[in-house]
Amino acid sequence: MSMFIGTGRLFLVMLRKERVRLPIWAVSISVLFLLSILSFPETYPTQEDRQGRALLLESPALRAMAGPGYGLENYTFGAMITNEMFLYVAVAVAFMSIFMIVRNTRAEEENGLSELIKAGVVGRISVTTAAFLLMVLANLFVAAVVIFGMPYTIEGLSWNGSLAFGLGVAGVGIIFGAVSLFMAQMSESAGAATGISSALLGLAFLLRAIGDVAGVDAWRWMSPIGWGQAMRAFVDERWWPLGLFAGGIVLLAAAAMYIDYRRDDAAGVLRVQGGKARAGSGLTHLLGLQSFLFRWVFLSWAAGAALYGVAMGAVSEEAADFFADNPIGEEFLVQAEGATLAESLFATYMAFLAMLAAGYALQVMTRMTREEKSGRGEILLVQSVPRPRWMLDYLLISCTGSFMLLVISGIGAGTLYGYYTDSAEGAWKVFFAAIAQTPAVWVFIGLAALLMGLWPKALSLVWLVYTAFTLIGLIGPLLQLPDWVNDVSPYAQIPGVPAEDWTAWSTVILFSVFAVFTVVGMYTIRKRDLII
Amino acid sequence: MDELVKLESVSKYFGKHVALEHVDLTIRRGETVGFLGPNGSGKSTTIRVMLGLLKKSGGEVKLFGKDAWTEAVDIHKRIAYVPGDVNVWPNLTGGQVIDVLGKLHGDFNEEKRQQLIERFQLDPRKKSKTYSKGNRQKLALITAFASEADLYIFDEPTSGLDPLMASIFRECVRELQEEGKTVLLSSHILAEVEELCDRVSIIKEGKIIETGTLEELRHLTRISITAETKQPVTSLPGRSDVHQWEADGAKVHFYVDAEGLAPVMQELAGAGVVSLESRPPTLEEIFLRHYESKAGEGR
Ligand SMILES: Nc1ncnc2c1ncn2[C@@H]1O[C@H](COP(=O)(O)OP(=O)(O)OP(=O)(O)O)[C@@H](O)[C@H]1O
Ligand SMILES: [Mg+2]
Repeated sequence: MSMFIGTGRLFLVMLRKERVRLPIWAVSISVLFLLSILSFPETYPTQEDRQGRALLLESPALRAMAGPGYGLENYTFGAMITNEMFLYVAVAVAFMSIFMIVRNTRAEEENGLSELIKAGVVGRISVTTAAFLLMVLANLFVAAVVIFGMPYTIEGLSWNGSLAFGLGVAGVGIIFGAVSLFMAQMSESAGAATGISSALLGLAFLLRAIGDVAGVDAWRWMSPIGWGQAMRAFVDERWWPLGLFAGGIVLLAAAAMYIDYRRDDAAGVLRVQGGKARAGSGLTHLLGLQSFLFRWVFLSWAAGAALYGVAMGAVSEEAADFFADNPIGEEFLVQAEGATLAESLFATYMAFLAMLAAGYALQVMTRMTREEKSGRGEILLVQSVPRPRWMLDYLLISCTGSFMLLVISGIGAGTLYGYYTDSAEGAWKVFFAAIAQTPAVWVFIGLAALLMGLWPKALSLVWLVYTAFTLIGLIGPLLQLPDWVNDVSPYAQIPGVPAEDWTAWSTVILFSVFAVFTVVGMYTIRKRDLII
Repeated sequence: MDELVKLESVSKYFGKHVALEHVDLTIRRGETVGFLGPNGSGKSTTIRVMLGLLKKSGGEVKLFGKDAWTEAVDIHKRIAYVPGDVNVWPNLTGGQVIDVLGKLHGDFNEEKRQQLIERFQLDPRKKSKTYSKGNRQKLALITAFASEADLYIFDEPTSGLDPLMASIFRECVRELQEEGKTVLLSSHILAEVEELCDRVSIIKEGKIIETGTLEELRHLTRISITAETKQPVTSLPGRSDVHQWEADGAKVHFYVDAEGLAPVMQELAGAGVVSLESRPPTLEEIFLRHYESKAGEGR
């Protein structure tokens, strides 16, 4: 089988390349999942509590964001996990698979790296095969941790149910890995392969949501996520949907390998169509160019922000009821005198929203070093573009973009909340709470600008800082870290609006930090060598 | 202001690594200067210091009489630059990249742009990520040639071009010369430099080791001699100004330093020279002598 030669070696090389990234994905997904179900027995000690929770799933909004509602009559922890958690674990592993596959196949090809590899003693489809195997391994790893972890995390969860849950998760993860394996062969660009695969994942989410809300099975069966849920883990396990997964995976992987076997290096089936021969006036100035380059980045984050906002608004009232006597929930929630529970909930949601917006902002800012290293910065800067001017565009795009994300999300959450509570004031409060996060987000932008001027090689350190503060924000209260740890986080500086009163001084302080960092960054970027 | 570029004793360190050491380089208006040197000798570094992309560690760099570091932006307006490794935005088409760079630079001639795209046979509708190295280089070349500038700087511009395209590049440079433009051309390709350049500077391990017109360089360096004599010339192989001595019966071939030419001729005459052929060194010979860092030779 000469077309497979070298697969083992390539697999080891890929494993080595992925030795940090892939384990981070796999471990965070499985461990975060186990951590999040850990609190269930304490939160819902009695059957009555659990039945109360089951009532929530009657609401269409929650149905759409959760699951089909199996076993509601006798809502055990297992049923709860299947109905409310399966979806999210499955989507997370699907993304893990998509990103991993594309960055090891089409992205390498696009960068011209695979040419070197394929010129060696390597079969025509060895790269594809190795990537597929690694993806399967990663999914099985997540499944194993989940399967063996669940019965120990919550007493009384059955092994059978854990097995069905874990295999269902792996099934969704692997089948979307196979989808992206196929798309990576079809499309000539890595961006398109990721984009189309993610869109299909979104479609799968939507199809099952429609099926669940309307209670129509046909819709559910069109979605692999629906197949996983249909295994009814912990309720009334069914194993035959595994056959659907196996069939789908084999078909997609075989099709991908067939195309890979037949096609030229770097070619695809979907051709990149002929583009424009001229640049319009929107492109030929600096800000126009950069905005054009970031349009997809922004649009995808904006879609995420909009979804998050709508979800926030949709669940706020109902969720508030359920959090009412939830001891773990209280740790998370911003507590303030005289605030309604919904308001406390929003205050917490908003802190997460700030993290989302900061993620976008940093993606824009950290692009600067990549541009500089690749020589694209050099070629721009010699067209009489002053360096601070070059940096200014990134600042503008990240600052206005992140602000717009907050606005979009705020509008979504505010409108829905206002509609539910029939209160324009409530809507405004929620909207304001969203945009009040701006200074916390901008502090991260300032930090990136500062590093860009003073120590560009370490710019990616901002991701470390960001991850650290985000983790502190997410699980800090549960870990009972000392107060000062939480207090240095920019997120924590924003008062917990709408539950607490907004104060101008914290905003002023954060903006000043941002301004000082940015000015120093813009000043010092003129004083250093370009990193070439 | 006749000297467009003046580097005086310029040094550049990367940490402890010395990339440039007391580099002097002058380019006068209307000149085409060739910049030669082995890999890693500091050509690109010199150019980037001139462009204010890297900060010199010592010495003085003036372009158009302005400081290359503090007045870089003003200087860039009068320069068109083609880097050695052209990287552009993968999602823009070639035509878009040319327009973006050209318009940002300012003085950009639309008519020339069209002509150049045809001459270089570039498909401007393709996304840049589908271009080969040579085609990406064409993007930067077209942009540079279509831009109005006083000084054109090319860093190994033909390293990815096929011979036909390389000859079109040379044509374009000659047109610049006719317009009286000033050009700095860093290259490994000697024929190119020999054909285009008025003067040459050779850099090695961060130091300029030769500079001058091609005639001067040839004059200063060894001359190749092939001769046939009646009696064997035994005294010549021992001389310190005679190199690479080869004898084949009565026929000898060797190189002699320019200063040693007169005494060597007398020796040959004394030995009864029958035939004599002398030839100035080709640029390649000058070049190779410097490239091969043999102990005691070169310099
Ligand atoms: N950013 C940098 N950091 C550290 N060292 C560098 C850097 N840029 C260049 N150097 C070193 O400086 C020296 C000169 O490099 P330079 O790129 O100027 O050579 P070059 O003459 O252009 O070579 P080539 O013909 O291969 O393009 C090399 O030894 C190189 O390793
Ligand atoms: Mg170079």
